[in-house]
Amino acid sequence: MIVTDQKDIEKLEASARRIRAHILTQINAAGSGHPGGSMSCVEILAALFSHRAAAGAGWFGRNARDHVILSKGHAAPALYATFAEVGMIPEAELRTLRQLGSRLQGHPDRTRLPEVEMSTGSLGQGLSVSLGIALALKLRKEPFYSYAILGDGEINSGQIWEAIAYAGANRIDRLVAILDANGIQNDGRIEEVLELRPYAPKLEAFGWAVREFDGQNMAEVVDAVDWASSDAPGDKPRFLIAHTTKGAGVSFMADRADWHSHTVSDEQLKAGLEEVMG
Amino acid sequence: MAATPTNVPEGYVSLRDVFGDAIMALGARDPRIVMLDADLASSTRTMKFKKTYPDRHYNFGIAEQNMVGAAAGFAISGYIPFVNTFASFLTRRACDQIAISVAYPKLNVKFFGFHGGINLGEDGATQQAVEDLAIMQGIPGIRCYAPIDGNDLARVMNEVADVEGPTYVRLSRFPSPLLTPKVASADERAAACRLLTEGGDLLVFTTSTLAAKVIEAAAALKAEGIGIRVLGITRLKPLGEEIAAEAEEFAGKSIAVVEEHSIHGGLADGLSALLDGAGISHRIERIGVPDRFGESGHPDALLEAFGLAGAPLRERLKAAARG
Repeated sequence: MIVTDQKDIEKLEASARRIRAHILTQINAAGSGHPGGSMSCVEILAALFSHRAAAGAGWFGRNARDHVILSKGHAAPALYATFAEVGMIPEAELRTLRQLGSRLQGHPDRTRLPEVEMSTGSLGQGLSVSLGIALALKLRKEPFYSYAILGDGEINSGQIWEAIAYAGANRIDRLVAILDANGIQNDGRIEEVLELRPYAPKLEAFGWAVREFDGQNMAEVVDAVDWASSDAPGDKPRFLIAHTTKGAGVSFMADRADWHSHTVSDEQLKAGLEEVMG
Repeated sequence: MAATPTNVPEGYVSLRDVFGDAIMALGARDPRIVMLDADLASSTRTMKFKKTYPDRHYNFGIAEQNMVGAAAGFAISGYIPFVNTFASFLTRRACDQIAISVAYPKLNVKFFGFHGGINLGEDGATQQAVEDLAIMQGIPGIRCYAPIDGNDLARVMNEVADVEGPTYVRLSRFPSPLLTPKVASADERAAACRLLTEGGDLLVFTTSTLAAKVIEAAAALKAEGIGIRVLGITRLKPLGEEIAAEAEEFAGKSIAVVEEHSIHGGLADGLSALLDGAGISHRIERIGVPDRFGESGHPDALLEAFGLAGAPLRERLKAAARG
């Protein structure tokens, strides 16, 4: 087990603050977007791109590397913000989000922005694609991992459970699913729409190695990602349940369903930036 | 499984057997090719491939959406996945995955829809596909093929393995007569348009193995003094530009499309759009499946009942020739 130095955790936390600020400025500039689910997966993205993959300019062009699919494509502003944070795209480009002709589509599009691993937005599809990548990694015997970031509303979808069944039955140990369990989906709280908790026993019954943790605690997220990216879980696919808060980092957004899809006004941007940057 | 006799008449070839042989040759030539199945591997003739290349065959179970998504992952990783199941299940169950996980990101995935049309017969409407080509043609960027015989499929296999991007090939269930010459080389591609019979009274465009039934009808009508020019169309999307010229030569005379598919979204619609775009005025007699599902029955009886073979087809063509 790799134990990450406290200094590295503090660096990642600073990264997460800048990513949150980018999310707010992007959605403010675009006039629409999904701030709630973008803010909840910030630590996951920072841990994957900055810590695990050590991504930067040129990283994506390599053949041999990890693969990350943001299956919950509506959190695109968080993905673009992370790309800018690690130097994969210019920071100035963030202001083009959702504009006509922009590479930063409302939901990620790999044909316009090649740094996007997979075009997503129709929920439920990304885990299967990550599974295909994991199968290819195993076929080539490559020492990398295929990560899919899922939403807890997204796993309502039957296709997710098709992928869970296949990966568990076939012991696809290069596959890591990370659930951004913020407890809220479009129409309301998970329990008001489709309650699927508890997750862990279901996933374990399907043959997955499962770990639960505080998805807003950077040290815990990094530790979980390191565990999933090691031989420790054995020959099983890995499922990380990150308990998160929708709209995390900004008090007036936190844990509120109406911030799933919402614009960020100039006043809200100012207040939000003060909170996230401290 | 259909109870139809499987004795293959002389000169008849089953498209799926040609497919089974073609994937062996392609698989040997290109190690990037992987086979994906959804619990119908015995029907899709991939068992031999699985035996020879066990690492390159994946059975996803009855989970077509996951299979299509995994195919996208293979394509991202530089492999060339062949996705195989019934046309009905592929296009109806995994439509959104085909559109968003494959076509939208322009991934190099090869779809094969087995038992397209109604000729599967006895199994009935749930396993038949009268709308597969409408679905696949409606999704941006997918090249669509409906080979007219085994030799034609062999050419299509060469073509789809070489072109970059998503493709869809519709296959038929039962052995059908060989109408086109044997494939000369692995470089040979499907013709945009193939003359099957000559005649001056009616121009008929047809596609898939139903072409054999159209040729039968044309031969019978020739004896009655009605000449029918039959053109076989293998690639429905994009349609070859030369097809418009063929129709233009027939200006002022009658044109019909005969297809084992819904009259909505199939060859007739594609041809109509091509001719509209070329500024060629036309009236197309649409001989296909009206707005309805298929049903159970012996394949030949079913095709006749739907007016796509035998005497009913002859009568419809005769009426069309009269204008």
